[in-house]
Amino acid sequence: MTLELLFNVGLAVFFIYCFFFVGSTVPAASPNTLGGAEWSKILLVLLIISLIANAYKIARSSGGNINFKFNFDIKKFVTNKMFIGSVIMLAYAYVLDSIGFLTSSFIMFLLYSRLLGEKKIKTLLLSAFGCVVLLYLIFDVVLGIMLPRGTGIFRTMALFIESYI
Amino acid sequence: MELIKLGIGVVFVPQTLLLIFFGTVIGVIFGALPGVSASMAVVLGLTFTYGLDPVTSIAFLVAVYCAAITGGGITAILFKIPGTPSSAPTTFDGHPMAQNGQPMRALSISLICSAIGGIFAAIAMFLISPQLSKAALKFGPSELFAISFMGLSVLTALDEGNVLKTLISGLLGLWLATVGMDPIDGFARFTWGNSTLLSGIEMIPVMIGMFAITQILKETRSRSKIENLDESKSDKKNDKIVSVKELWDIKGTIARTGILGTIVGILPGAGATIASFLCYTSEVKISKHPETFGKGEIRGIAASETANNAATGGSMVPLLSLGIPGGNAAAIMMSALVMKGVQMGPLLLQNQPQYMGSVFVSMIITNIIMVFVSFAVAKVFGKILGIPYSILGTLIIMLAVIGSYALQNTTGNVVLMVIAGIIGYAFAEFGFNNAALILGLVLGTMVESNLRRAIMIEQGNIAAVFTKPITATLMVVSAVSLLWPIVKPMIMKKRNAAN
Repeated sequence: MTLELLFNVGLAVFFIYCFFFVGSTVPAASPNTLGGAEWSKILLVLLIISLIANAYKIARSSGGNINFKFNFDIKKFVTNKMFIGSVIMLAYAYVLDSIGFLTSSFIMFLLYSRLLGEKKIKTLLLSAFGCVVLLYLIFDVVLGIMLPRGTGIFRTMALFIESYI
Repeated sequence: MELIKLGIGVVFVPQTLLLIFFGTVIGVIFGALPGVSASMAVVLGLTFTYGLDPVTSIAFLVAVYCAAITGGGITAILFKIPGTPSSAPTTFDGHPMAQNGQPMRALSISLICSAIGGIFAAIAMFLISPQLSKAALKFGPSELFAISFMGLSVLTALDEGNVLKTLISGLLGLWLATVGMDPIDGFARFTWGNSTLLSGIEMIPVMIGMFAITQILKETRSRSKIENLDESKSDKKNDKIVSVKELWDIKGTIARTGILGTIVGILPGAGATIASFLCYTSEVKISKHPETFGKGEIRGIAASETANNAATGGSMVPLLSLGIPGGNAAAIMMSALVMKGVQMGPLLLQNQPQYMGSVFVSMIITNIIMVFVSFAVAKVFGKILGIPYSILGTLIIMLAVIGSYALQNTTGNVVLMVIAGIIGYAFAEFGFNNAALILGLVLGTMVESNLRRAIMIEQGNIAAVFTKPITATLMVVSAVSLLWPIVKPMIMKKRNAAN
């Protein structure tokens, strides 16, 4: 409840900032037109009103029993499967360019499948290899979508593997 | 009749028929793959047409386009991941029906209704194409704004139990659509000096993130909807292909959404996505049992799938008769045909009628072949359900990553997709509606640019914009549609209090 309230208030504050930001960066509209900044401001005003109304609704439904004291357990948070999953996906997205599709996908596959509960190492390795090669064949070889090869040693390795595919 | 004869003469050639079949197969597969949009399918299909003559090319591309829209429904039903944006409403009832142990039934409704919608649109084109084209040409910015606003009016109906949060989600989507270059004046908005943001928020990575990655994160935390489908596979007694009687019972829904989908498809810019959302919501609103929607209602699947396929047929009318592409896929087809020397526009029907004829005949053939091809593809996708989720979930992440990457060959879109997925997860946890956000993002630019153009044309006279007969009618319908879910509980409360 408290977290939801803070989320709404945080969004409202961000959009208030956006309201003044757009006004200062976009030139004023010419007469008899609706400018780009005005349209954004209309949307932002509606958003801010809705978010405040939602925050009020949350506060009212709690009957005033909102506890702002957090017992934030960092260990519990970082060992949460959802958090680990997000980190794996973000890391995968960021390293895709530098270490290439084949290597990064293989590593991501091993890690995420393990996270989702696959314990057999043999199944993990075989499925990771099979899926990565299959998707590479469909999209890169057949459909001609140039998937990232990576840089340096990873590029050399990808080219070596590709020569066999 | 002459057009039909011409079309049959051109299409009923072994080579063309084979290419239509091939186009249907790859269209269904591309459409079913999450992240491979119908536009991307048509672009990929273009590479196959370089060695073909213009008539065969257009028949092939039409097959890819129609089949891709249908294919999107397969993953929407089986994995709750719409293969194309227009299949998003199919997830509302298709996935719950699959979860209830009837994936084959849901798929058969989706595929048969898609075919009916497509054939209906093709026939409608034969009969009323010139008149409808004229009507669509008369629509100015104010009418187009009213049409796109009508698409937005479905927002409050997406989650009637949570109207305020759904509205916030829709508004957030509209705001996200303003990020980047202003569509009229060209000024940067909310880019904070970042050049990547200048081109705006890419819709497809956000959509993949909000639908696919959010779902995977939910499954990672607590399993598992897809595994429920796996268990339900044993419930073969109830999981049968939809019967003729069941289809006859929903004839009203199919007819209404077929007509509305075709009309929406004809309007430039208002494509299959608006058609499916609009038709789904209108069916919810006129239903005697709206509470059954979202829980595996047969009418929900029929409405969405009939409408999006009817819209593909409709979108071909302004393309062929006026030279106005109805959407991205139509624009790609147009550029391919112009490259081959085809004269698009009003003179096409007079000078090269074989193109119009072949489009309509190939659409009918595609929609028939599509049902069989889609069943075969769906069976393959169905078998994917037998794979442990630990493997399948990771495979979906990879498909989502490739889908985002292939859009512009940049990992920036992959990062955007993952971030959208994480934000989508947080949103879903706090009860906000991701589908409403996507709807706002899809319609945002269209709503803004048409409204601003309309005001500019009327020299700032806002009253003049909204008092045009068609605009006023559409705005009143939209306002009623938008406010009804808010007003309805109040009326019910009053009635209950009075009783």
